[in-house]
Amino acid sequence: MKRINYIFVVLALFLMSACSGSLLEIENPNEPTVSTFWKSEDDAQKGINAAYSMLYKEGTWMRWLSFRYDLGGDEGWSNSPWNELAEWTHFNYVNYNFWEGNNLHWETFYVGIFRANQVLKYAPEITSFSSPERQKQVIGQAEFLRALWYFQIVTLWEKGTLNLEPQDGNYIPSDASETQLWNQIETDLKDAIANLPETWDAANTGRATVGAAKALLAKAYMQQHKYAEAKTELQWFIDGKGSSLYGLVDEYVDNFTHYNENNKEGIFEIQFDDKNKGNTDNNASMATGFQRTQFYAPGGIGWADGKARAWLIDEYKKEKRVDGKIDTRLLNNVTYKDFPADFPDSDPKVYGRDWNWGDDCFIRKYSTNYFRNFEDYFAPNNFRIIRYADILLLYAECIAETGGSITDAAVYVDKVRQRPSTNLAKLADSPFKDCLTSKDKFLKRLQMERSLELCFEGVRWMDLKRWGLLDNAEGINELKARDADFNNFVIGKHKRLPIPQIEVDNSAGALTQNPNY
Amino acid sequence: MKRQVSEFTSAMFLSVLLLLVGGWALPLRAATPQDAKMAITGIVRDTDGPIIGASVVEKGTPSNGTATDMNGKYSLRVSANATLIISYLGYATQEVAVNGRTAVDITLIESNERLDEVVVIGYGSVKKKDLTGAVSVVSTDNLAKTGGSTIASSLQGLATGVNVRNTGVAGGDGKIEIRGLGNLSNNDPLWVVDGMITSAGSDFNPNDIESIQVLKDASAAAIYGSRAANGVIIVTTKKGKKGPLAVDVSVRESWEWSPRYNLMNASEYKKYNDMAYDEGIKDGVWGGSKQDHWNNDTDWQDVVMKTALVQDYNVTLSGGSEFGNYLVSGGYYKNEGIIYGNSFDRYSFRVNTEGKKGRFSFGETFNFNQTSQDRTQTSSYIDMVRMLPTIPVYDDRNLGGYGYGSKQNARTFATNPIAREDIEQSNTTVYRLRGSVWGELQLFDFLKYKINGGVDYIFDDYRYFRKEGNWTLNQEYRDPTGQKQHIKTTNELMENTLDFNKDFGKHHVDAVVGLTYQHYFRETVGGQRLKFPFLGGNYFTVLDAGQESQTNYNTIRESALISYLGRANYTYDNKYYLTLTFRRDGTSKLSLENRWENYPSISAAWRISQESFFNVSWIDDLKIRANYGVLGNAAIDEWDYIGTVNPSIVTVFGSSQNIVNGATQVKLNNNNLRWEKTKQTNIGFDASFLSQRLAVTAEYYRSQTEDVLTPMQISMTTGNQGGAPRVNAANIENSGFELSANWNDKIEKVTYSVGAGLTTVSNKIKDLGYGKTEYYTGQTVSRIGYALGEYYLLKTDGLFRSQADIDNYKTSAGVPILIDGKRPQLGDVRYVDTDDNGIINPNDRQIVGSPWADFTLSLNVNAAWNNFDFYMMWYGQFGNDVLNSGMRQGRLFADNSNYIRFEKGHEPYQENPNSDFPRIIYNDTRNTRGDMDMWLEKGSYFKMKTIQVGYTFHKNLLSRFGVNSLRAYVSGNNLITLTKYKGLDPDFQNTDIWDRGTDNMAFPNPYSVMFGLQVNF
Repeated sequence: MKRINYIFVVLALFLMSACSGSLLEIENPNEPTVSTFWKSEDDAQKGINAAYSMLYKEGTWMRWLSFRYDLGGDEGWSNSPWNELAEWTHFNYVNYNFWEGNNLHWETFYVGIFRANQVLKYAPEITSFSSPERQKQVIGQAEFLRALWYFQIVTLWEKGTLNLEPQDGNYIPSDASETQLWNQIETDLKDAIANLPETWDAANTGRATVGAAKALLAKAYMQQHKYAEAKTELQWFIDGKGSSLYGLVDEYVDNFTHYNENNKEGIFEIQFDDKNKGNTDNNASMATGFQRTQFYAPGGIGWADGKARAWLIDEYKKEKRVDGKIDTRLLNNVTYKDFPADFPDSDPKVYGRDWNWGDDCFIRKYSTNYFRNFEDYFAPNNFRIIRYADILLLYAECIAETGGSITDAAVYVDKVRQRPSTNLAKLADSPFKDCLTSKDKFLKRLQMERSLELCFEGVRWMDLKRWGLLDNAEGINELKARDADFNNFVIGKHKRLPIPQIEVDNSAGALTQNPNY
Repeated sequence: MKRQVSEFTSAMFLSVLLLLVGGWALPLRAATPQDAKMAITGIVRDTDGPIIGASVVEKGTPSNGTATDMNGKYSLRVSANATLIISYLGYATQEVAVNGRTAVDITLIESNERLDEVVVIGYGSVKKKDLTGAVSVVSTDNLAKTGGSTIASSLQGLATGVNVRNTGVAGGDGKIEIRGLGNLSNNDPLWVVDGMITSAGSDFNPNDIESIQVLKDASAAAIYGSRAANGVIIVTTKKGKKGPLAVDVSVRESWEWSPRYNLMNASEYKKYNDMAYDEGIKDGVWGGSKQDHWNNDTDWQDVVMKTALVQDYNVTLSGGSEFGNYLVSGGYYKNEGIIYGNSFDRYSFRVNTEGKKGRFSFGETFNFNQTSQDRTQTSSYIDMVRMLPTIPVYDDRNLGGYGYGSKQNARTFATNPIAREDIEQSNTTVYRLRGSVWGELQLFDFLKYKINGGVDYIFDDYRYFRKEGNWTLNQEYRDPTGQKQHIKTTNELMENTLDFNKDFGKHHVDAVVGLTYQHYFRETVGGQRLKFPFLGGNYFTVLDAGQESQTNYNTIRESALISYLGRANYTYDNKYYLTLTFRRDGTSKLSLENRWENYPSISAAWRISQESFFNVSWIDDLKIRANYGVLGNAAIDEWDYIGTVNPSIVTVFGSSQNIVNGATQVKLNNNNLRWEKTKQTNIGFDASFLSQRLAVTAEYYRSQTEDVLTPMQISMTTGNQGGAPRVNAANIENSGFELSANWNDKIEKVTYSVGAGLTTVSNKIKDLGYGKTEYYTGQTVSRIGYALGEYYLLKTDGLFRSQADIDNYKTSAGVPILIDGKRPQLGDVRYVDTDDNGIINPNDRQIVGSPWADFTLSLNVNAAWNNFDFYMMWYGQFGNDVLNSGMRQGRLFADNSNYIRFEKGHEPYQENPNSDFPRIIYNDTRNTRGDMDMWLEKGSYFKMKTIQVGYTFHKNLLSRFGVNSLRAYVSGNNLITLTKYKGLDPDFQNTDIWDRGTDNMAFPNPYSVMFGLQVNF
């Protein structure tokens, strides 16, 4: 009898040791691991696609970036009932961690850089590309996108941390100067120009091209006042290969609707689309629409969080078209009480409604009022980050700044003025012909020409910085006259945002706060 | 996955086979001739009469035993020189030599001290007097009196070292922290319910509980090794007792209501709102005009709060014989919720049975619960303060018909809580099945084999629907949206243990060795659509009715844990005790190299009072004990140790704007994650004095948690998204002192007991992850050498009351100090320019307070006089600071919100220049910054958690109705709170470990009054 029990004990012990360690090998069925990814051309392609996906986040032009570039400048302003949001367009920064005004931009740009860095680390190691050309293209796009994000960082904060490969949690950001960032941007864009194609097939429209990289490089040079280098890059668009790829469209408004996207004027566009109506998380139903006009449309339709400054209306009205009418760019860019009188041929309704917003001026550029009577978070019209008219005006600036002939420079301004739908006279025949008499006068006029053509397209803030208007009392006084927000502007402080405080706090002194904050 | 399941199944199958074989073989042995035995009978009674269900066992032959019947009678065959061990819960165990008698009657003495109480310690049990580790035994009587809907919420104040932070959310649960914060992410203790490792939250019916033990130190918890770093709560459910069917019915009805803020009405609000606007206009910080107030006067607290009826009904049927017992119970609980849009109900059903034949015994527990919770979609308490009294509840001008802010008239983004709860509807129904089956074979007198299999299946059914409509200013249009989600969670446990138990003269050895395997699987499937039709006055909410944007999702989580465990207890002559425990754990959640870890512990005790030289008449019992052990924790997600690529990212390309797929690593990870380990030393003593009237237990412990696993925030510049990755990030030391004392006595006909518990916890950061020496969150800092999450805010120094005050506001070098770029004015808050640089900025923050209490104190009083009984429990904590966000919201003049009424003498400076409250200004945060110490308050409190009076009706009065006993009672919860804290409730939850002392207008504990009946048939 006892024997049975001993056998039993042995059996029990055997059973107890029967569980094997292999039970602990459980694979993740949800996602592939990093070590199995980045092996094929398709992986690299997916990686670069994911890098583009960062354009569809609230911290970019999709939503909040316009609050920095357009409302932060003198063209727009905010009296949002969300006081903190408004204060961040009034140079009133109390909480340096304000998410929508500061930290979100910072985070978004660095996520974009992380994604580009992954491609730049892994794609060169993949040996199975179908052609070296394709590999170069993937790498070139990542270089372009990384430069694009660093460009925004240097524009907003004038410094950051220079992060050129995927990091882990141990990474502590440390100060990289404005110059260091610009140098990296230049390096990346030069590499991108060498790697990118001039055009893509129809299925790949929207990817970065040589033109996009050259235009961005020229902008980077100009922000550093390297006008000669910038002019060289821009030359490509004027009489190089770029002149056959790009040009002005006849209809100004075709730059802002979804009817004629990726036309010859567009150099780099965010491909907004309304098919997906999810949130902006990283999933397959992620929203890919334009959200800004929901924030800019008049109350009752949108939030009226951002408004146009009325001086723009006066500026447009200072000059009549060749046919005696008011510059229709005013109608396309700003909505205001008297617009039906100024433009009798236009639809006098705003989103199908009669005017009931007093003396407010709203930003109409990119609004979807042209095809519907409401706004939402899924507008389908592409945002043009860089377009040809901008290039022409920058080129004119470069000519003047490098001591070239003002008459020559005016040619490119006139091209923009004489766009068929704009139909203004040449500068020489305009009320502003005096501007052709000196470089300074020309450049001053060019500042206004740029605003009239490019207002609310995210270029004003970097223009103001480049022109030095933010560096002295004279510049600030000029801006104050147009935008009372500049009454709060402190020279030497507010031309850059405060670094997110939480990042400064947790960097053990390696990342310092911007001066005077 | 398949492989795991099949291995699991085959192991299960083998075990069952083994049992069957063994079970069949054993009766053979039972039938073999025994030593000469004789039959004895007797009655077990106490001073009042016979005791039903007392255990009578032959000493040295634990398998030979029985229980007394309805009349307290037992009969047993024993050898003539046998000794009987007679025990019953709550009575002193007696040993009686038979000495050839055939009738042995025993009178048991009530043991106030319950030293002989058996304590379940995991894979075994031990007499309370023989404990060598820190174990709290919770009085289930007192637990029941709190009337809490969950175990955790009822546990507050009933065990030292166990801190519970409660909530008033219907369907919510208390947060338990045992001995402080050992780690930085998951501080939930391990729950073991009837041997099953599971959880016992709001879906568990506390009425089914027989006993609760809390294993607090490393030696007690070591048998659970890697899972026990936060302590272990062992719950044993009720079993049937020997005797005919007993029916217990319990009925409880409570009324609960919420504490309130003292908010302004419309005319008061308008007065101060205009005052703040005037100031803003005068200062030039507000460019607009004053608000064109609407003419409403809504009391949002009146609209949103309600007195909730809480019903709790339970029926338990139980009985048994010497060969088995059964218990069937059913319960229904419903809480209407004190806040609009929050309710909870629970149906519970349980069957526990045990059976025995010869040397084979088995048992099972089966528990099915169905809960349904309607959660609030919004933070109602925040909304009630934020919503302006000038906003109407309903407003036809708005889509959906509800009132909310307006730019000109009521400039606020506050959410109308009524609108939100009406428009957005969500409900979670959980069907949960817990069950376990065990079988046990007594192989030899000294050796048992036990197999225990448990399952825990959860089916979570979530439905969400959003109607068309808005609840706040500037809300984008959203189509009617429907979402459904099903989560299936399965959790299977299998355990094999061998149990050894033998006396060698004065030496006693018992030991257990075992192997356990647990497998966890969770799959989420959900879908969503937009644009649901509104037809015939109703929305059609089945997903098929949605016309746009079909999306669906599906994720899986899976993990497994294998453990080898062992424990040996050695006792010599009830004087010297030694326990060695060992556990080796392997988890699928860590990489192959870091997967396995060992958790040893050692403990010893010395019962001094047992020594012959010990001769102190007033000390009945004295034992000192000490131990050391290592515990672990890997409460991390399944694949945190592997970097993954998100494969479902999309972007748009092409002239026809096609959605194109992308993939990239989104969330960073740390490959080299290791087990978190806690090393703990505990010393303590147990003593009873003065004929067991006074019992005292004291503990001191020091524990060090190394390689703390936490998702510590990393720099945004890494580009990480989706939450910070887990990392072995810190080294934290906790130490504390626990003292509990209990006094029992009788004065005339009044018997009473008073228990007090004192707990201290202090923690210190020894090391921080990623090589940091300090770690900042928005308003706290954690530094090496200091406690976690201390308040790091701008220090204020009163107001500027005179021009001289302003003029003197300079740095030491004489530079005028600027606040937000401006010089202060009369009535502004004077911030301390800590770095003396002339600008008030984040560099001026200082440590100004701590969220950690110096100590917590609990007090339990029980008394009985004739048929009346009385119970009272007080609980409190002392010495901590609380950041009162509610007060900041109610004083937020920079933005619009309703305001908390000013106390006399504390009005705004404009109104009363002698007040301590600053000038109020609209659109200027200089006097209401969130990062200043003005909102920091003393958080000490002492609260009467429960008071109860009961009356038990005489048996002779009831017997004609067939009723054995009937007790009626009335009780109140949270009725008295002594505190200077100005928020709603100083007992609140904040689950952010770095910010635990901030009261973000958390759901307070409701006041409640309860009436109850307990009937036994």
